[in-house]
Amino acid sequence: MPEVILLVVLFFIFLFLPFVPSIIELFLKRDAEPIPINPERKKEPDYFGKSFINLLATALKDLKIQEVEKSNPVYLKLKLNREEWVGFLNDEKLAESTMDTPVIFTKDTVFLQNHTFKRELVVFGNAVFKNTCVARSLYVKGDCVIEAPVRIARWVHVEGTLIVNSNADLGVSVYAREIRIRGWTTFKRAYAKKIDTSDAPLVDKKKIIQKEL
Amino acid sequence: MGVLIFLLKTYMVFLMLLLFLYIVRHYFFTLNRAFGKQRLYYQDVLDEDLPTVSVLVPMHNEEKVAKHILELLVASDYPKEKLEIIPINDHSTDRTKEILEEYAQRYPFIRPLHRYGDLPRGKQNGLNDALKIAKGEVIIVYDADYLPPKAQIRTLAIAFKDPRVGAVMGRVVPINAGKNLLTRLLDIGRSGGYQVDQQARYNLNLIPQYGGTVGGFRKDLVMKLGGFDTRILAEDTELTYKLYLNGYKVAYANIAECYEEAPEDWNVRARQLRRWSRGHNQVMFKYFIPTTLSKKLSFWQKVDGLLLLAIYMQPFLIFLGLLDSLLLFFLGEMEITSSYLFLLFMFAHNSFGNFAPFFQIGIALVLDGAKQKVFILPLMFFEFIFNVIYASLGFFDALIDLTTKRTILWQKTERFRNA
Repeated sequence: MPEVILLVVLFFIFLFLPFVPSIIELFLKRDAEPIPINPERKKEPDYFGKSFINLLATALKDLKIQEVEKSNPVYLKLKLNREEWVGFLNDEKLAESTMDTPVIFTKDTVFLQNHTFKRELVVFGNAVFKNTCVARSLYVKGDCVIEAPVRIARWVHVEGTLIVNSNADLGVSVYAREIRIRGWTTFKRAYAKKIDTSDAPLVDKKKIIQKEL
Repeated sequence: MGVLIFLLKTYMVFLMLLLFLYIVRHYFFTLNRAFGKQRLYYQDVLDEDLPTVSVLVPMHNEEKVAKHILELLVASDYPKEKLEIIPINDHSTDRTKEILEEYAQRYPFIRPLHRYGDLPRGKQNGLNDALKIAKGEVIIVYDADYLPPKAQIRTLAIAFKDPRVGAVMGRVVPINAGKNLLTRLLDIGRSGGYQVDQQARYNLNLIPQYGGTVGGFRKDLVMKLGGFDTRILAEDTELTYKLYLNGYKVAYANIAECYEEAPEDWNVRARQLRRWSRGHNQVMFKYFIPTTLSKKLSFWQKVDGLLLLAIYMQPFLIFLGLLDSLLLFFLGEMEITSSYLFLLFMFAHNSFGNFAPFFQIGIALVLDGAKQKVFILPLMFFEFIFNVIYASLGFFDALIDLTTKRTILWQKTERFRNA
C-alpha cells in the first residue's frame, strides 16, 4: 500500500513538474508588463545630423562660434557623447591627411587634397569636394558639391543643396533640402524635399557656389 | 467493422500528415525569423506627398474606450488636411453617440457615422457604409480599444506608395498583458503570431494576413472588389484572400506596434475565439477552391494560403483525431503500421513536433527581449485544450451558416478598461 501511495505521489509530482516554473512566474510576475511602445516615436529623416549638431551646440553653448573662428586653428576638449578633442580649422591645408578627431571647418571650404576623417566632418559654410575624401559622417551648413568619389560611412546632412556628380558612396542616410545626383552615386536612403536624378546640367548651381567660394 | 477500422486508421494517417505540415511550417517560419534575411517594411520611405487617409473606428457601446482612441488619433502627426476620422457608431445604446458628437464639435476632421434603425449591425456592415462616405484614398481601421501611437497612421499609409500593396497590417500588443493568466497567455500568443509568423510570411513573400485593425487598405480597390461580404464575420481574412487572388499583396509592418485590450475573462475569450473561428472557416469555405486554382498565386503562396485557411479547422480535426485514437484503442487497433521508420517518426514528432508552436513563441519572446515570459509557455497546454473546444464550435457554426444561410449576428467583445 505505501508503494501505491508513493507511486501516486510521484505520478502527480512528475505531472505537475513542467508547470512549476510557469506557476512561479505567474505569481512572481517578473516579466508581466507588455513590451514597451513609445507613443511619441516618429521617423525623422534628419535625425543623425540633427542629433550630432545638437550635441555640438550643447557642448559649445557657452562658446560662441565667432570666438572659435578668431583663434583658428584650435582644438577644444568638448563633451559630445564622451569628452573628446574637436578640431576647429579655417583652411583645408591645415588638415592632416588622416584626422582622428571630429573636425569642424568654420567657413566655406574646398577640399583639394585626399583626406581621411575618421570621425565627423563638419563645414559651417559651403563645401566642395574636388578630391577623394573619406569621412565617417558629413555635416554641411550651406550647400555641398561633391565632384570626386567621396566615401561617407554613415550619414550626410546638408542644410542647403547637395549636388553629387561622381561615383560617391554617401553611406546609410542622406538628408538635404534638395538633392541633385548625377553619376553612379550610392546610398541606402535619401531624403529631400526635391531629389533630381535627371540628366539636366548642373552648371548653374555649381557656378553660383564656386563664385561664393 | 473492417471498413470502419480502415477509415479510422486512414483518418489518423491523414491527420498526422496534416499536422506534420503545420509543424514544418512552424519550424520554417521560426528559423527564418531567427536566422533568415529579414525583409524591411517601407519605414525608410519618407514622403511629403502623403495620400489622403480616412481612419475608420467601428464602435458598438464603446463609452469606456471611445475617448482614449479619439484623443490619440487627434494627436496623430499625420497632416490634418489629409486626414479624416470616421467613428462608426453601430447601434450604441450607451454614451458613445454623445462622446462622438462632442469630439465632432471640437475637431472638424472627426465625422461620426451613426447607424441606427433598420440598418443591420456588425463590423462588416458598418465598414461598407463608412466606405461610401469616406474621402480618403487609403482607409486605416482601428478597433475602439486600440491605442495608436503618434506616427502610426503615417507608418501604415506609406506602404501604399508601392502600387502592388493592397493592404497593410501592423502589430498588435496587449496592454493588459500582466492582468491574469489568460492575458499573459494571449500576450505571448500574440508575440508568436506577429513577431514570427507574420514577419516570416512577409520575409518569404507568402501571405501575411490583414487583421482588420491596426491596418489599412486602398479604398477604391476594395470598393471595386465589392466591399465586404456581410455574411462573413472575418472580413479581414476575406479581404486578404480577395487581394491576393486579384494580384495584390499585404504588407506587414512589424514596426507599427499598437496596444490593444485583450479579453480578461475566459467567457469573453471563448465568444471571441468562437466568432473568429466561425468567420475564418466561412472564408475557408468560400476561398479554398479559388486559392487552389488561382493563377495569381505562386505554388508556395498557395500552400501557405491553404494552410492558413484551414488553421481554424485544425482544432476540430485534432478533436476528431482524439476521438479516433480512443476508438482505435478500445477496438485494439492502435497499430497502424509496424514500420521502424514510422516508429522513429512518432518519436521525433513527440519530441520535437508537438513543441513547434512553443518554439515559435519562445523565439518571438527572445526577439522581443521578454525572456522571462518563456516560463509561461507550458501553461499554453491548457489554452490549447480551450482552443480545441471553442474553435471547433466556431467550425460547426460556420458549417451551419454554409448549409442553412441563417442570419449572422455580430457579437462585440466586451471591454474591461475603466472609462
